[in-house]
Parts: sequence; C-alpha cells; structure tokens
Amino acid sequence: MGVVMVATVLLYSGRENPSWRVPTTRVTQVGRALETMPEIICPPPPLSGLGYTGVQLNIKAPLGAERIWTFANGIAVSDRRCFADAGRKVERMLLGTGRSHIDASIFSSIVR
Amino acid sequence: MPTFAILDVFSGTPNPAWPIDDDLAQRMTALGNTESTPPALGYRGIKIVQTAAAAAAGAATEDALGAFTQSVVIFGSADAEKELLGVGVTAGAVNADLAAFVTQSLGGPALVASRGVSVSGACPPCGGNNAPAYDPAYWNDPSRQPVNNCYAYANNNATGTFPQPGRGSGQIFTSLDCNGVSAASVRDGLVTTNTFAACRDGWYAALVIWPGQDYHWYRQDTTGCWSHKPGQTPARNVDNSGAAITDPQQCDRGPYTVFCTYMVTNASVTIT
Repeated sequence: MGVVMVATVLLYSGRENPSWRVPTTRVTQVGRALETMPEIICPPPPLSGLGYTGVQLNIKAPLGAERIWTFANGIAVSDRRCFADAGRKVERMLLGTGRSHIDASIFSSIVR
Repeated sequence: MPTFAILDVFSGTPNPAWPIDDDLAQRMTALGNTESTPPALGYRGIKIVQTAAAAAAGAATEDALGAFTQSVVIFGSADAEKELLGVGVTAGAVNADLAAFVTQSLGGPALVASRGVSVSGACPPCGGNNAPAYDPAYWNDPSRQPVNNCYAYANNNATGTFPQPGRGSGQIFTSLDCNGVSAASVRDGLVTTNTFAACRDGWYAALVIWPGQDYHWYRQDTTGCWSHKPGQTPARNVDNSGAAITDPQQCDRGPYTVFCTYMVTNASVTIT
C-alpha cells in the first residue's frame, strides 16, 4: 500500500464537502509539485467566509503520520508553514482530479 | 504575469497586497482609472498591478512584490472596491480593522467587528432569553472546529457529527430549499418565526440557502448581534465583507443568496 491522498473542496457550510481519493496515477505528480513549492513567510490567517475557500489535501504515508495541506489564493499551508502555490498550480491540479465530484458550474468558477 | 491588488492606504508602513485571479483583474482593468488618485492621508484607492511571478508569490505587502507595472487604480467605485477588499481579507492581506476603515471610507456601514472582538452597542436587542455567548475559542478548538458545522453552531450543540437538519428526528431533509430544510429542522424541534424582535425562551437562528447547493445557519448571541460557523471553518461574528451582523437577512452572505426564515431553537432540540 503506497501513499494515499484524499482531497476535499472547502465549499459548503451545512452539507459535507465533496471529497475523493486522488488517483494513484496522479499521486507522484502531486507529490513532486509539493516538493517544488518555495517556502514563504506566512501572511495573516485568512478570514475564510461562505462559499469556496480552498482545497484540503490529507496525505497518509505507510507507517507515517497523516499530513494535512490547505491550498487557497496561491498559498499552501501545512504544519503552520506556508509555501507559494504560484498560479494556484497545485490547487488546480487537485481540483482537476475530482472534476466528477464537483457540480459543473461550481467547478468552472473555482478553477478559473 | 500575476496580477496583484494593492490597498493604497498607509503612509509609513508598506501597503497590503494580494493576488487576484485573471477574471477579476480583467473586470477591474476595464473599470479603473489610469491616473493616480490625488495625494491624501488615508484611503486612496486600490491599485491593480502586474509583477514577476517568482518575486511576488505569496507577497502580502507592496514592498514584497518587487518591480511591478501599474495598470489602473480603482477609486470611487464602491462595489468594485468592496469586492477587491473582500479578496484581500480572504487572502489574509487585509485585517478586519483595516477593512472596516476602508469600508467606512467608501460610505459603507460603520459597524465592523474584528474576529474575536466584542461588537459594539449598535447590535439590536437580544430577544432570546437563553441566547449563547459568542465564544469562538470553544468552537474553534481543533477538536471541535472540523467536525461541527453551521447547524451545530446555530443550535449551540457541538455534536461532533456535522449534524444535518432532520437527522436527529429520523428523516434528513429531502429537498435542498427553504421548505425542505426548514421542515426538517422543525421536526428536530426548531420553530419558525417572522421576526427576532420578540422576547422569548430559547434563542434565535436564521436559515439561508445557496440555491441548489447548500444551506447555512446563523444564530443570535447575547450581544444581540449574530454569528455563524461556515462548515468546518472557524466560527466568526462577521459577514463575508467583514462587517458585524445585525440582521442575517441584510448581511453579505456570499453565494447563500436566499433568505428563508428566522427560527427559534433551544437546548432541548435534537440534532445529530
């Protein structure tokens, strides 16, 4: 059993958010993208509101602790460290792996 | 080439800057002036600039952007300025106090609250005899925040189950609209009401709908102002524009555009 990645769109308030397992064929690509993001000084925490606020990625490696990332507005955060997700590359990559799990009209508005 | 917005407001310290997407940048470029606003102390508009990707990634201040090219200044277009400001707040580049100052400069409502700061006496009277106190520290604890939603918060019951209207009484809502969700919550024990003016036992909540997508709840706290918890995100006492919520029917609700009804809830309501 290899690395398991689960992506969740931070979208809804009442209902459960759309969530899916990142296909194993994309796990390596996502992992490499995470490794290439430059670390930056964390800006103040966002005042996330109603509607789309980003993507969460849970990564569980064999025998390892679960690591949680969040992606929003070109910034990736994990373990209180911040990284530049230039052009929202990783955020869009993750959304692309879950297209069938997201309402089509919402998908088009959040990936643009 | 990435586009950023710069809030032109400070004199001594670097101005806040935050990235904006292509669609917003194009709309603002079409709307803005190409000339700078007159020098003045305080808010002078929001500059739209293009800069190099490598230097600007994640920048939260004008100084950190490096070299940039200014295209337009947005000033005197309150709706556009508020939209940009909202993006800046969400990005964490503009804090609630600064957003409040700029909003007032635009002629917006004067009452704006910071996260975790008590709102002022301009709140309406609280009519719920058992209204909960605004206590974000409790709800935003890592053990509670991700597993409790707006319905848990409105009913002041951290079930840890992401509770759904109707599930506690045996039948979850069957239609994602005002009638469906309000009926399910009535089965749980909530009571619909047309106003939150009357004094009564329990406390007031309010139901709104994102058409076809989701529902959301607000609750009235002891202050008389309202607070909410959008999904697994932190509880807060401000709306999507960073303003205190004196009436959920009138506040900025983002995509939750349909206001359904006020309701009354209490500690005996069953939610799961």
